[in-house]
Amino acid sequence: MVTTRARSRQLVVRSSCAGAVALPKRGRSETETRGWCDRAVNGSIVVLKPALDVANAIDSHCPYCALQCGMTLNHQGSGLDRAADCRAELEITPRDFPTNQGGLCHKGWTAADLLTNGRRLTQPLMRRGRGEPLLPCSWDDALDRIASAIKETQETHGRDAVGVFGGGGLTNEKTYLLGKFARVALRTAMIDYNGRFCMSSAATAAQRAFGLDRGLPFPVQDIAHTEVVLLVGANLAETMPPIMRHFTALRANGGQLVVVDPRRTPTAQQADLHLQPSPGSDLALANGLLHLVVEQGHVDAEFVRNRTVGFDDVRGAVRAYWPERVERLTGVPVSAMRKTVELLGAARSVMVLTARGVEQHATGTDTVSAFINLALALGQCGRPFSGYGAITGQGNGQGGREHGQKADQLPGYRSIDDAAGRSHVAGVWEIDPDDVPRAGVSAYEMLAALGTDQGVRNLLVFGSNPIVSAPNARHVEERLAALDFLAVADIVLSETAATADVVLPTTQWAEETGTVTNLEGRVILRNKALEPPQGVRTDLQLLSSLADRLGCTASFPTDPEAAFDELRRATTGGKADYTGISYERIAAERGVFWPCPADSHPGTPRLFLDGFATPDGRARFHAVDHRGPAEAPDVEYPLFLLTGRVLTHYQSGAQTRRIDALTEASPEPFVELHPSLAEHYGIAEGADVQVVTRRGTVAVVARICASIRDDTIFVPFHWGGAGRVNSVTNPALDPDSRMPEFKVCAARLELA
Amino acid sequence: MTNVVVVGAGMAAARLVERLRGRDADRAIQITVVGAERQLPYNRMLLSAALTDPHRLNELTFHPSRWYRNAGIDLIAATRVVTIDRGSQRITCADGRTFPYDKLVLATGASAVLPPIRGIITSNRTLHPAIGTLRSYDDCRRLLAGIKHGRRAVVVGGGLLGLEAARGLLSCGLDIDIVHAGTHLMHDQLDDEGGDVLRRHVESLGIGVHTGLHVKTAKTQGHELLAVRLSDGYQLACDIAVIACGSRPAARLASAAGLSTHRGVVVDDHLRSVDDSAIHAIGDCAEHDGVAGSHASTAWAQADVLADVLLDIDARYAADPRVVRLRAAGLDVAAVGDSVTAEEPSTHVVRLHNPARGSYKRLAFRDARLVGGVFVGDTDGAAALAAALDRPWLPASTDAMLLGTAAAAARHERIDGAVLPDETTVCACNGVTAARLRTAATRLRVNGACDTATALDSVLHETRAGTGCGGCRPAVSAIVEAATASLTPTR
Repeated sequence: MVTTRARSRQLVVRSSCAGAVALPKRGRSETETRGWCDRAVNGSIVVLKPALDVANAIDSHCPYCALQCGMTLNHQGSGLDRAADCRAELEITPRDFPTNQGGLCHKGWTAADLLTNGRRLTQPLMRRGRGEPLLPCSWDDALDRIASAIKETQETHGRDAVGVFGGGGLTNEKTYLLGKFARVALRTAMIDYNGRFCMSSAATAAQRAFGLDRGLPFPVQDIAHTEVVLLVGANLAETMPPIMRHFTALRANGGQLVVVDPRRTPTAQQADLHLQPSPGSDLALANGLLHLVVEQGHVDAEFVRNRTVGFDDVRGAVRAYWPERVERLTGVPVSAMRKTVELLGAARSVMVLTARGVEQHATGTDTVSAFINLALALGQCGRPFSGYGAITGQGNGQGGREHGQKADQLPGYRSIDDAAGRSHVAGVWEIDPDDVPRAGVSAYEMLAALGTDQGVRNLLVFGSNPIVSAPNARHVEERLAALDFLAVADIVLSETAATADVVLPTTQWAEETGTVTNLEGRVILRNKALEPPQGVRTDLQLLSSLADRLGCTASFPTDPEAAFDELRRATTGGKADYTGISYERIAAERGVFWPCPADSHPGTPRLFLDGFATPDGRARFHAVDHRGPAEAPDVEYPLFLLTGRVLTHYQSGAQTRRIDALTEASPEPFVELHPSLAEHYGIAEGADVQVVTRRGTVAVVARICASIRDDTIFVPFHWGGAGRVNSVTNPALDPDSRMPEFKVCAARLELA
Repeated sequence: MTNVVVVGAGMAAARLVERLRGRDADRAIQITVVGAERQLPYNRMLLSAALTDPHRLNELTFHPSRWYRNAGIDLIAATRVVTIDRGSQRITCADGRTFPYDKLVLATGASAVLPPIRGIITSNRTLHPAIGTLRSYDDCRRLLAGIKHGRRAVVVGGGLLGLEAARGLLSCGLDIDIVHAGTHLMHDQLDDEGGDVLRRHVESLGIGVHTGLHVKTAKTQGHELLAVRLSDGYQLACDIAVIACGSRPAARLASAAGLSTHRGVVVDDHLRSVDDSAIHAIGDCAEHDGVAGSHASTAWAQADVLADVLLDIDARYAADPRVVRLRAAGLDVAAVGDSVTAEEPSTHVVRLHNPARGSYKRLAFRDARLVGGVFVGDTDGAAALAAALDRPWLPASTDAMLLGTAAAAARHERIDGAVLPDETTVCACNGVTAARLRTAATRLRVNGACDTATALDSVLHETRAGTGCGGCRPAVSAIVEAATASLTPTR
């Protein structure tokens, strides 16, 4: 069933050069403004480029990070539904969307390259047996093979022997149907996804404090209007560049930015104050800041009394975190902590924002709780222009963690153990509630047990590349090789796809319509702008075909809007309620914020203004204690190893390493080290070195950098093979979120 | 079920039982704590701050009594233990109660050293009402009561605690004099020069400092204190005196029971008495490796190890580099590791003294290895020094410790657009070099396109520089300005 819709065409208008450089802070004179224009428009900086051909301009959003920059896709030439073999180039221009305000980073500008540069998958591949090569085959053969492998595994080893591994880049429609496929067609409990490696700590902490997890509980535009932002464990200038304009506007309005990061990143360089704690000590720092907030009398007693529970326990717990002790634990000078608390205490509104730097730890959930405690004690939650937020990273990291590709979850951000939720979703799926499986296991736990007697023996991977992105990757690679069967659906032949028995080529972002939910909880729509090459199908099509072959009669719509409408019904009554959100509304209203429980409901840009999502409406404090890294440096492995990102690559690099402009900018993995370490080990700039941990070795090129701590090294994770840093990371898991400790372990350096 | 009895309910005991219960979810261990103080365990580190802010005395308690109840910990306050019977493994209290134990932990802390000053002890063998120490909550209450009627105080002892007490009393509006036996303040941690700098800070607060002198007599009249007489014969008029001459491990109970005590109760790496495997000691009363602790972080580190040991988890205590920090507003001192105050062969020091800023930094090296240091006035480097001592296997970059961390905001630096090298990447978000910007600017200008402002607009448009995070705009602007300024103006 195909529905035709009028696609909205957006006229992209060139505005007068409105914007300013180094805008004056409060108190400085206008004449000190430098730059090409002295006017700030609403404190924001806008640069627009006119669309070249208005008639062929399609509204969409970037395929990469959670900011989901608004873009316009422009055809040179005649029209949309051209035959696949005369695809012309798409040109990308930025759109003036509230999130990016006309900005794009290098990844966004070049996002269309992979559509036509010949490096993506264009036909299904299959290998006849182990040791045989992957060869092209027909869709029918590929799907038949997968279906028969599934049946065989389930008959021999039970339903839970087949597992599904999803991704935070999948659209809401795909996420929803993937979860449905696992539970209704496969009837397995074993489904989880790579977002477990991303947002699980923040999500767990937010749930236990507020009763709800929506990364940012306010739109990014609010950032410019708060007074102090405490940005913890986030390097936005390199991982989400266009968002920085909101911080620039913040400071132009007289606000202050405090950045917490062990590295002096480009983001830290733009801050008013930079705290550089020892890796893995952020929880102690947060408790220390809260101790000072109490000491200095900055607790908002009225807010704490009326809108929270549990402060007494936390206040008692942070008594043990006096500044000198915290200085010892974190390495952050007492004066810097006092200065920070001075800023926080004097501000009328404060935002506390965390990201992977503090969350990807075995203490990640508790660390986020410590920062939430700080925000709550200051009375800075549930009020306009303030709040705690987590900065989601993956393109659909938010939607991806709501609609059921997570082991313990059903659509609408329901718990799979909640009877009412099971009943509702089973109703939408037209199955018996008792037939909905119980919770499965988390991503690393599933991967670590693949091919074992108790584990998954047949795995279907959608839009994820765990061979590069999982912690302790060598072990994960061994486990994947031990599977009876592996099928991978992806757009490129990633490292993981290259080891599969069957590879299915799926459509790229510009070749399909679908919604994602960005970091603000804003549901947005990407419009199809291009036909995929012949031989490439959508994930929806392949799920439908597989379900069919498995004899499953449940509906698996291949039309995205039909899938979305079903998703809406499944979320009704859940925490992430999409009932009133439609494609029309998204286009007309520039996205709709959930919860939106009815057509007439305007959506909820700002959460918690009237109460938190807990049974009594109060936010909960949660006392937490410092534990430090699971693996601290010692004589044998004397350095802290940090991992993270570079601007021009995205996640496992599967897409970005196939785009020339991006690989030219960042051709190879490197290790950042302090000059004194370089001297000590005799390592020159550009030298080949090995970073070694208890898990293995990674080969990288040395980059000497004075802005990193002299006991810490940093390696980005976007490469596979010998340069794969996840070969050496520590799979120590957070007990609450099952998040691995990507961000710190003990390492040593050796000359190659 | 193992029966663990803890003697003492101070910071070490509090930390121990917290960790023990935290790891012993099955309640395999029965915990009893017997403390002499009336109060629930509290943060002793913050007592001197409470002099300034009396209401904070109510906020020192770590956990309310229900926490101990919920944790199944039997906490018995206001009860002094008088004997340990090691044979029958039983302790006896002053009120006659006895408690059996499988494992005994001594966490009796330390008591204030009272120097031989005539007049401070009254005829019924108690401290004179106008004279106090500052080791406990009760001490603090007593002092606060005394302060109400006082105008001048003398602090006997110019070490860490004496300085903190003096600072606290100063904020109560009293006139303060410190009398210190050593040649300079904090002589255990500081050298002459550092002591001098500290003295100037202290005096600038309006506190009188008298070094190299003892207090010989306290002149009292009934309940009142009138003055103290010093060893040089002079008198200081005062109505309150605070004794801060150090503390001594409270090890009498242990020595009476026949356990080895030297500076404190002698223990091994498992914090077990060297004489009795059923008895442990932690905190200020314990002596490990010749060192008796006097620091909360030591006590807590020991408590953490002992919790594991009591649960049969293999753990050993090894002393961390010591960090001593003065907690007093306007007085910033940190001593880290081994300060090597005496000049020894094979040691050398690096000193940085900035009189204008009142800061003094001294790093000590033994056999060319960094072993410790002190900071007076500007203590931001102390954290980096402690971290460096934690990891002796790595080289320590001392620049940051001495010169301060480089936190200058480069974004406000004037970028000279004319001299930035061509190959510099100016816009990282989009990989745009200075060369590319210059070429674009020059071409647009030469084509007579527009004035400088719109030239910049066009350059940004064409190169995409500045469209990402926007952080490069000052640099881009400077480059375009420089490139177009060198061209003759068009018609």
